[in-house]
Amino acid sequence: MVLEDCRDDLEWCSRCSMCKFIPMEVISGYDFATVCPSIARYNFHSYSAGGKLNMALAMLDGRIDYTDKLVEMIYQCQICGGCDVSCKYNRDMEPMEALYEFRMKCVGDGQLVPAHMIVIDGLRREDNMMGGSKSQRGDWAKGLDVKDITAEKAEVYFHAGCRYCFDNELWPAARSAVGLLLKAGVDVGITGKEEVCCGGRSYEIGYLGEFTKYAEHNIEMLKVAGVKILVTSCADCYHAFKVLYHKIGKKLDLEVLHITEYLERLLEEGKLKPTKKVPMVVTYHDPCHLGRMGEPWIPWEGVRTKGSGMIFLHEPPKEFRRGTHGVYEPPRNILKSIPGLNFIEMARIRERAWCCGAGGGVIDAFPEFALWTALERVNEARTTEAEAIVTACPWCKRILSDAIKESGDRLQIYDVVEILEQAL
Amino acid sequence: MALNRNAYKALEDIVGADNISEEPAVLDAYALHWGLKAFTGNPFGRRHEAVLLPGSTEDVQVIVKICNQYKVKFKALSTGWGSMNGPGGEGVIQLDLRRMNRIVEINEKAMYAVVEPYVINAQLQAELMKRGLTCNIISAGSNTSALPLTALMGSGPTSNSTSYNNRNILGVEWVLPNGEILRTGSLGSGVGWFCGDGPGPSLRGIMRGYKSPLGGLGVFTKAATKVYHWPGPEVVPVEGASPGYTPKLPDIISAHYITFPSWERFTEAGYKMGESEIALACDKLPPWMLALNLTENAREGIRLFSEIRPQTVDKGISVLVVIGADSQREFDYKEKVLKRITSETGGEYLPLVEEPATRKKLIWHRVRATTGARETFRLMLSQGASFGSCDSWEFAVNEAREGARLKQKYIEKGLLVDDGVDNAWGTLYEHGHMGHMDELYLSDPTDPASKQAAFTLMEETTRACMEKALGCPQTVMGDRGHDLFGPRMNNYHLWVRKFKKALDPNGVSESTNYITVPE
Ligand SMILES: Cc1cc2nc3c(=O)[nH]c(=O)nc-3n(C[C@H](O)[C@H](O)[C@H](O)COP(=O)(O)OP(=O)(O)OC[C@H]3O[C@@H](n4cnc5c(N)ncnc54)[C@H](O)[C@@H]3O)c2cc1C
Repeated sequence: MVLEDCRDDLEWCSRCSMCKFIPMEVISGYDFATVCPSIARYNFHSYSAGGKLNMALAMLDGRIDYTDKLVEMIYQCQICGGCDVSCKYNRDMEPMEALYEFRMKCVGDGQLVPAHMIVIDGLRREDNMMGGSKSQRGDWAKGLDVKDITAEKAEVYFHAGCRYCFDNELWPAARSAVGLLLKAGVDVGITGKEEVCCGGRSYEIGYLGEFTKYAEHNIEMLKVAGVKILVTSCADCYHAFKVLYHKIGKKLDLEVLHITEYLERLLEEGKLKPTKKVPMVVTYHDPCHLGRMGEPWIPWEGVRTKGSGMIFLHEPPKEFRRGTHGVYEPPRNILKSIPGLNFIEMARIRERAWCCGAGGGVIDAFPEFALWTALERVNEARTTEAEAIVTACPWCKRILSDAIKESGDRLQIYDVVEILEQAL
Repeated sequence: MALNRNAYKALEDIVGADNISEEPAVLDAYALHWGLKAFTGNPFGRRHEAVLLPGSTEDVQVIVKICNQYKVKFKALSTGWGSMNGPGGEGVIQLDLRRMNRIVEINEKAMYAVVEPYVINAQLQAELMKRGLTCNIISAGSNTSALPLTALMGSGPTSNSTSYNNRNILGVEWVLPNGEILRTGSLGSGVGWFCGDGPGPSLRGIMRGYKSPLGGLGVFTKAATKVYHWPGPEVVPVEGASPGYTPKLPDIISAHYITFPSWERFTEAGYKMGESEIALACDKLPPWMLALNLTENAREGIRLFSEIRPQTVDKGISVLVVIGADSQREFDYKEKVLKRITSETGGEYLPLVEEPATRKKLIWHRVRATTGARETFRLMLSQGASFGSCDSWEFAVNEAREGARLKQKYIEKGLLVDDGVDNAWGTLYEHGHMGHMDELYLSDPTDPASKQAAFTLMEETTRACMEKALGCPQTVMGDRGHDLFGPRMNNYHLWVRKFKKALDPNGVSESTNYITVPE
């Protein structure tokens, strides 16, 4: 696919501005009505999904050429998918696809964001997005009594992901995840320092070649290991393994589960029993890649064509991913299973959750914008009077922690697994 | 023509470098408009010279003064959905008002709300509902500005009980094209926002008559809008995920989709409903739009349309009536009255809408106005509308009737989409005092014959307005239209030009879609 293939959608944008807000049906007050961090922060229409579609069309039509500002506008966006859900509340089009393709076109045309070049350089050399050394990738798991699936067979593979592997502060959550699986008697293994990036972030910043390379590597590794289930605690990795691999025609031949999905299963089966009270008031932040973007990929190949009655329809009929079937309940069900825990929802949840700010390469290239976005979420969490934000992704946890620190707030932040562990 | 550097610098000094842009890509994002592709083949219109994001009335005032000083034209936009935001010529800057987004006041006792231009209707309504109130929302959607001065006509699904924009305007803060700030109505006497007509200057009919001045008369920076009683909950709980939300509304808010056997019976029923003051909404949502409203994709919409067609299109003319009550007794009474009116006028309830879950969904879609883009643009962007003059209910019905009559031949020839022929959207205003109808049609922009049919239909409807005295169509914008209709309507165009000249001596408030004054 190339940007030109999105032309229909570029021309079909009606500039209704729905992409800037959560769906109108669920706006419950003046505050927290917006969904797109990019337009909320920078204000010009060009920052919204609609505006980016307009600019993409202008580019295809030869009306504009690249400038530093244009590239910046394209990348000052977390590709969080909020716009996509809100647009598709009413329309049968794919704004997110155009946003991805616009980035891929930038990369193809050599219009690169300097900070991303550094990250990609690191990826090529060290197989991770964090600038760490691959020899240290497995350090997070030191001392854990867990199988290495490059050496022995296991039923379940736990993929930690670049952020967990190289962000020491977050190690406890990854270790807890593995610990809980072991406690429930799951036959789980890791790949330690042999683990490589899922490639998802490179896809999001437009580097399709890198993404494909890592997808192929991981597919091969998993085939050799012969595992039946891939589990990850990282929402970005989950999205890559489950959605993006399928999207590029490389669907994994195993079950992909986010740790919250697997833990929910273990709770249902009675293999984990939360009995200890955790007397805390918490709210939950839906990671975009687990929530709205985590719904399964639906392959479709066809055209939008004029059918009978002059009406343009997708042929063959196309089923749209509208954010309806993301992973929303498992983390909530885990929290609700914990004795003494008081769980309160924020205003923007599930498919209309506000992004944490870290995604789409923003944390690397525009850290101030990432932090601004996270601060907005922290403010929203504060209105619930929760003592802690709970989330299910290391990228969210990292940037939200930074924002809490920055704001001087007393809010705490946990991963779902850390809360569950307290209750066992 | 690039902006004079001194002018640019002066403007930048006001809003700051982050809030002004001449970047071609930014300008193109403001230049593209859905209407253009269908009509001209090119989705891009003329570029503005720059886009500015003023943050306050003071910013706007200084910008307007600079524009007067440097003879630069300006055009405001709120949410920018209107196809009338683009510049009509060179040398125009765009004022995107999205940083002016505060609800200034909600006065429950005097029943008004004061908003800045980038408060959207959904935000305002949600805050009002917490106080047992609601506002008029145009049927385009609650994603549009809550300022009652921007939308073309200002009519919406609940206008039967929430009136329309021109009548809802109370006090207004208005930066005139010469840079002066005028406060209208009671605001002009410093006694608050509660009245549009005084004590203080009214100017309501000049500021916006039945139509908005479409950017041609300066910038409205704050306005009070009248608000109305809402009989529903403070927050409508909505379960599920997009797009198939399930709103939880109490059973004493209900709706019926009623089809009447003829235009005459439909008209009669409208008057009766108005007189009895039973309806929260008397919303002529045509079957085509109903089907699109209730479905989650285009294909489903078309399927549902053919399913309900025999019960609606083939049987007559339909309307959605929403009943809201504060008590069971009131509700029972209103339901009884509606049943009586329906039976007296030969109407029939559509079973689909009698189904509770569908009914609740539909009520919430219409009260919150969530599906405007679904009902119009889901299938294609070449949607057009004609008629839409503001007059009596019977007059409005006659517009719809004539629209359907003129349209029919093109549908039969396969040149316009078969939307059931009568695809007029409309509403009663204020329990039957007045009414609105505009006839919608869909053409295929890729087919020259279909495009031509759409053009010809527009010409025919315009002619019908003149020859059959069916009012000034809502599509009349700019000199050509006003010069055509003015002489037939007490020469209103001459007055509008005089007002424009008096308020905008330097002609800087870009007014191609309003009216211009020859040098
Ligand atoms: C699908 C669809 C359905 C529609 N249905 C209806 C309907 O039912 N009823 C109805 O009335 N209209 C309807 N319209 C037209 C509607 O009025 C416009 O689309 C309008 O633009 C809505 O957005 P807005 O109010 O934010 O105004 P904008 O699009 O921002 O502006 C509209 C006009 O007002 C001017 N303007 C905006 N803000 C200011 C300001 N603060 N000061 C001075 N001038 C300003 C602009 O220059 C422009 O000319 C419909 C449009 C669409 C696309």
